[in-house]
Amino acid sequence: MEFVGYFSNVFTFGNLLILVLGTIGGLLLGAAPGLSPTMAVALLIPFTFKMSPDQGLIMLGAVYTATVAGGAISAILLKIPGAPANIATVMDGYPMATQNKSKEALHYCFISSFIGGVIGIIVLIFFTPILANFALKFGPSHMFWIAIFGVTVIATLDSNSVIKGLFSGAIGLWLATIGYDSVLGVERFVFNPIFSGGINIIAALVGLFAIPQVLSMLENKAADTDQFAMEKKSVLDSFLYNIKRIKALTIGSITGVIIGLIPGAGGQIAGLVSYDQIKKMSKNKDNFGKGEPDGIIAAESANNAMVGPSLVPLLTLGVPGSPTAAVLLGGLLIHGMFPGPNLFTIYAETTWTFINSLLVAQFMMLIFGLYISGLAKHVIKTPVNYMAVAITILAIFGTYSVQHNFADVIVMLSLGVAMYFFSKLGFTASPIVLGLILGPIAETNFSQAKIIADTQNGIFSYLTSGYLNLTIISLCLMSIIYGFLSEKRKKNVKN
Amino acid sequence: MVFYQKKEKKMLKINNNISVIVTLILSLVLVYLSYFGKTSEAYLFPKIISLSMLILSSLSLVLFFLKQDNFLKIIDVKKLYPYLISIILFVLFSEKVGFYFLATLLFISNCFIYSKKKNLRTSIEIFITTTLFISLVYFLFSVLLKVQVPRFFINIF
Repeated sequence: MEFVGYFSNVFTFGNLLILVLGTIGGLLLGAAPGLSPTMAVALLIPFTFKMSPDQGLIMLGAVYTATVAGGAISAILLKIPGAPANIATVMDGYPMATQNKSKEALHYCFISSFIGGVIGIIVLIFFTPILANFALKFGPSHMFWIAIFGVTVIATLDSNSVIKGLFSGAIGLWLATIGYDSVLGVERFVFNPIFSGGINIIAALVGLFAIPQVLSMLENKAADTDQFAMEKKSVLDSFLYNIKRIKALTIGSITGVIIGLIPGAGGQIAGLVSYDQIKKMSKNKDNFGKGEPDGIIAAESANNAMVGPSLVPLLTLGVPGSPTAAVLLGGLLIHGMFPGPNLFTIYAETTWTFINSLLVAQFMMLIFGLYISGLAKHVIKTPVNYMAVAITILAIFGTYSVQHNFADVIVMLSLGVAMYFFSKLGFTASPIVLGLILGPIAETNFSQAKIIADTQNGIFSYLTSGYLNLTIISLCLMSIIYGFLSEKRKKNVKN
Repeated sequence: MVFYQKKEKKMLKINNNISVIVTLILSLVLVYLSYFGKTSEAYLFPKIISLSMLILSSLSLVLFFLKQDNFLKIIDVKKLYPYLISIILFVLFSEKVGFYFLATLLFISNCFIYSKKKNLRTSIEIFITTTLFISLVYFLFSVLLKVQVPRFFINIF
């Protein structure tokens, strides 16, 4: 119950203000079609660089929580999911809007998001220290494999092709070697002085996630959509109705928690799986897709229940539970905090303040979500061209502000444009980003392992002996095999 | 039909052939950069990574010949030219001309070019939005975060 001691830190004026701003901003960003939680968190990382670690992480956590919930606003009102996590919400949310019940649908969405979110954070609070203590047993070889596991998981789950996903992860790992070698101090692949410090993680994060999205927005401008009237609905009635739908809430929350704990899975899978489950278990199967509240409740409680558990493997092992958690890892690293047991010893105050703030953020999300949905309908109507250019300018200024280095802006824009064309070739940004973030960790631990192994039976033997090494290697292989199997299944369904 | 064909000519088609060629070339370049003339132990990790990439790209080549994976993606390059040119101009001149001045131009020009309606009302809307947005950016970065961005052309900006 260590977390209780740090609760008061969340309620200082500065932290609370950041939490409120992060929640409101996150809800509006999430409501804007095309602005995914991953991109929103990536765009905000440069701002947090100037803040204290507590405040920076509170801001990122609040935005992560609120964007996932906010994505449901455009899913319900426009039939366009604000984020991939809200795809399942469209199925019953939009039909409710066409019946002038959008207010009611939004109430269900925020109340179920809140309940799922709280359950998810409770899991995060109780699971994380246990797993972090276990991570104390890890040596260089284990940490090397854990870093590789992180890349393989994201590569196989966040990509349509396992080979392309792994290739993307390898690109990230290779890009991370540009600059000085951390162990021997040798300069590598510095063809231009702008690369002497390596590739700045924030520049890469912003470029890889924001610029391709902007180009995609400009290429496929969203069509105008209909707007329907909003019938008034009491929040209390919606809350009581939500509580009565205990089956949908339970299925959604449990699915979200389980999927969140699986590294790399993410909210999109949580929402769709829970929607599928509640549909199968419901007595009113025929109502699904026509405006069945259970569909919204299950999907939204699942995608928010996923947020907390997705941070469990991230905070303990450095393996993110979702693409957004991968970006959040960058946020931790720029404040000098590396995932693992140290987070709960040396950085205990910052870590628990962050986790507690996520719990408070759920309440903020509920309060502001219920009252901001009226305002959000104006935000979602923002023309795509305005939004695209605004994102570009924020990305340029944000990247420049980190090191006052114009080279970072060039790197950010170049990586972004390259990523857009790469995405057309079937590659995704998340594995590249994770490779770039985990690359130095993998390489440093590999070099340390090699130094130890040179005095023993060689590097291969050192990296492949012991039950922990073999377990993590098996997990890497299993994630690749699972990736191939699900790729094959997807193709069969398509055919 | 002719119009459709003409329109299609302006689009960049990407299929699996290009994907396989790009991955193969990229992995060969990285193998070359990591291996040739690199004797230091510091290059061991990049060597392993680039070799893994070569194996993966060879695997995708094999799969390509087995015809297991086919897709076609189209990029409407014409729509992207104005944006791409404007960010290239920003990169080339912003350090000399100033961030705020060029960001204002970037905002106005792109909003106008990508607007569905190009009339006086739209122009006024864009002008007001640009003023508000650039003021917000100025407040966030220069006032709140105290970031010293290049400002040469006009001292205020």
